[in-house]
Amino acid sequence: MILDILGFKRVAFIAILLAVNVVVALALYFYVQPQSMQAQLQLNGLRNAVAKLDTDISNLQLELGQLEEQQETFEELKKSGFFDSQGRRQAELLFKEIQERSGVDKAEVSVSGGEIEENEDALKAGHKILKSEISIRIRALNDISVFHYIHLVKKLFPGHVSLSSIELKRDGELNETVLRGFATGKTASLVNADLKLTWRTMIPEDRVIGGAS
Amino acid sequence: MSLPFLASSRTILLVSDEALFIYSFSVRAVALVESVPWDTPDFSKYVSDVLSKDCKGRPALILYDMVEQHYRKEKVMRRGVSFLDKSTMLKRKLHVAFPNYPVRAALQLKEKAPKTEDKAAPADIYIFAAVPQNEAFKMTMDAVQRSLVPVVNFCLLPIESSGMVKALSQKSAKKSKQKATWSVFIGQHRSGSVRQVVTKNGEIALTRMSPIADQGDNAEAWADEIHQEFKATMSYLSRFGYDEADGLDVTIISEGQAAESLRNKIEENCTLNLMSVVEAAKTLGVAVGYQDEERFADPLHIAWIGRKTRFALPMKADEIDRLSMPRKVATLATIGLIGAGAYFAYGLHAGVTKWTDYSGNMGSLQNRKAQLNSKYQQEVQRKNEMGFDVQLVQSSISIFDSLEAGSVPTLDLFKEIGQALGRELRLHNVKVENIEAEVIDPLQLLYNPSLANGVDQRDYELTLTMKYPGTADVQKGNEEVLAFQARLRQIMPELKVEVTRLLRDYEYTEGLVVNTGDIQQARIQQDFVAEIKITAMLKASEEAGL
Repeated sequence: MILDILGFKRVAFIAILLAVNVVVALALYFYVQPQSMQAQLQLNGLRNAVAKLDTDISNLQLELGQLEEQQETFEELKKSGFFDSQGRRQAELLFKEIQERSGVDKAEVSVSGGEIEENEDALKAGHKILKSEISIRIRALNDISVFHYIHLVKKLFPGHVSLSSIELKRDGELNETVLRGFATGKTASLVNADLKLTWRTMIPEDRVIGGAS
Repeated sequence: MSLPFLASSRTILLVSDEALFIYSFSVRAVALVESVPWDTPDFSKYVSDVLSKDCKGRPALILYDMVEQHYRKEKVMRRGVSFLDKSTMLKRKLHVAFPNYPVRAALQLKEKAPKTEDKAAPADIYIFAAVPQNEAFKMTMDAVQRSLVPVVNFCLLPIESSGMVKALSQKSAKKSKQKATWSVFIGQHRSGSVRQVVTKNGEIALTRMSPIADQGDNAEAWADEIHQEFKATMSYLSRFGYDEADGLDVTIISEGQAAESLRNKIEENCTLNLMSVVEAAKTLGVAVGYQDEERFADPLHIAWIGRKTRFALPMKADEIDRLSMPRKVATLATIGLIGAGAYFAYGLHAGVTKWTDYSGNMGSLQNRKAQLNSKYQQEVQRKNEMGFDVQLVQSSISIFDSLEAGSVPTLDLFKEIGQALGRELRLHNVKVENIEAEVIDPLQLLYNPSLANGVDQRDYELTLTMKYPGTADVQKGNEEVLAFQARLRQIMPELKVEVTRLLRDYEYTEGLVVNTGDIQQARIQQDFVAEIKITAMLKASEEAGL
């Protein structure tokens, strides 16, 4: 019926057109567009990767430049015992040496047990910060000896020592009695100092003693 | 494949009583392709071949111009009839008016129904038209179906040409400067019949088809016959309410001696235009091309109607719809599919182009990535060759720097204080404390920024205490303390130096003995205490994080 009205040629032409449309639409929406999108995603990924590589190389070059400068500092830190695990025996010997060299009359030192302090930078390098609190009570003839003591602690102690607090008090006056005492070989302590110090070193994680916290 | 609505060239089938006239129409010319008498053997096949071969399958417009055409003026009520109901009502009325003629249609006239005293409901005036489903109609439709050409429409020649009569009348009115209400157009067709179309105010009022003997060789006799037909038409017009005062335009397609003879015969008071078909076409602004016989009017009708895209009265019939609708749908579907195909093809092309671009770019980027990778590996190797743990180096230095930044520079401070003290003054007590800065909740700070101003941001504090004997001159002592403060400020401009206590005050821890009996002997036994506080913020306290 429809063939009588439209004719075979026209019906065939429409059918072919329809088929071509379907094929082209299928090719477009189910092949070319997904492939194109995938290619675009890959391209974006590749662009990002190239940009990241560029940045990484720049950073690395900058880092290498800095590292050459930092290497010297690192060696000094290493030499100064910044990576030591705060040996108590070593500390004891050092305090004795410092007392002798500083000229203070008396120094009562108490070092607390080491504690592990969390630090992100240390963690990156597989290390932990070991922290010990140190309290020192000094008796000396004058404040200069005390300052010398502090100077020697900072200089000789392995790792980093920071002063949390210090109280320096003059207990006596330099009078005739004291001077006469000097003449007879007696010493006198005119200055009292209470120091609180924090001693920090950086130790590898595998050297952390199980219970330390 | 031609588009029936937009085609600039068409085949026009003029259905007359004598034969089927097949015309080829283009905007430049009208040409008679073939006239096929109804008694031609195998009529449908013959016409079908002409349409598909000679006329190249162009869309066909069927113009009905047989004697048997039925017209009726009808009033159709306007009030209370919705737009949708109107067409149903018209169909029903048409069916009632012409129950035996299924090919029919209605044309609304501009003419309004006269007002009556009985306040009848307002109505529109329509011309109802119908043609019979005679043999000629059936044979024509059969031939068209066989030819497979698209059908543009099926129309009535007098109705579609009434616009032409109006246009001719307006053109002649420009010349005569008198506007006529009535216009008469008389033209003889090749079939020999004379078609007369009469319009009133531009709308069809009357049409007549009169068969006359073709007397082309006898101009006088032809003019006589035309004159007789004109007189008959005028007698009809008088019954239709024609008045001489209304004005009358008469256009007759004629040429040469016949025209002159006719001019002498017509005595009615009218504007008479006698012109050949070519002249009439020129007046209308349509082209009929070369015509061997300029006295026949059918090329003029064809040229006028053939260029139309909207018809005044397309006839409705199942036979026409059965042919034209599927072909229209097929044509629209073809257009749609071609459009869709073009869209998809464009999309496909654009998609493939993009894809190719991406692939090309990817290739060059992959090369670049490979180069960078190689460079990166070289740098990493260089780094590894340095022989130490880079992360450890960087982290340890960073941590040490942070610790240093967070430390109180005690010895430096003492050195500066010593400089400020000078030779006269002595400190009794020095206290240094590393104070952690108060941390404000960032959320609180966000809602109340003024909090930041009131916060004590000290990071370390030095307290210097000086003792003066109870016998010391308070004013002098205070002056010394204030001078010491000034010197400290000068030496340590970046720190905050404040005297927090002058000699006049006593430590609450000290005992107090006052002799009140003899003012002259009153002596304060206790030492005076002065105190200076130095506060500072460690520059890198935030970095230290310890």
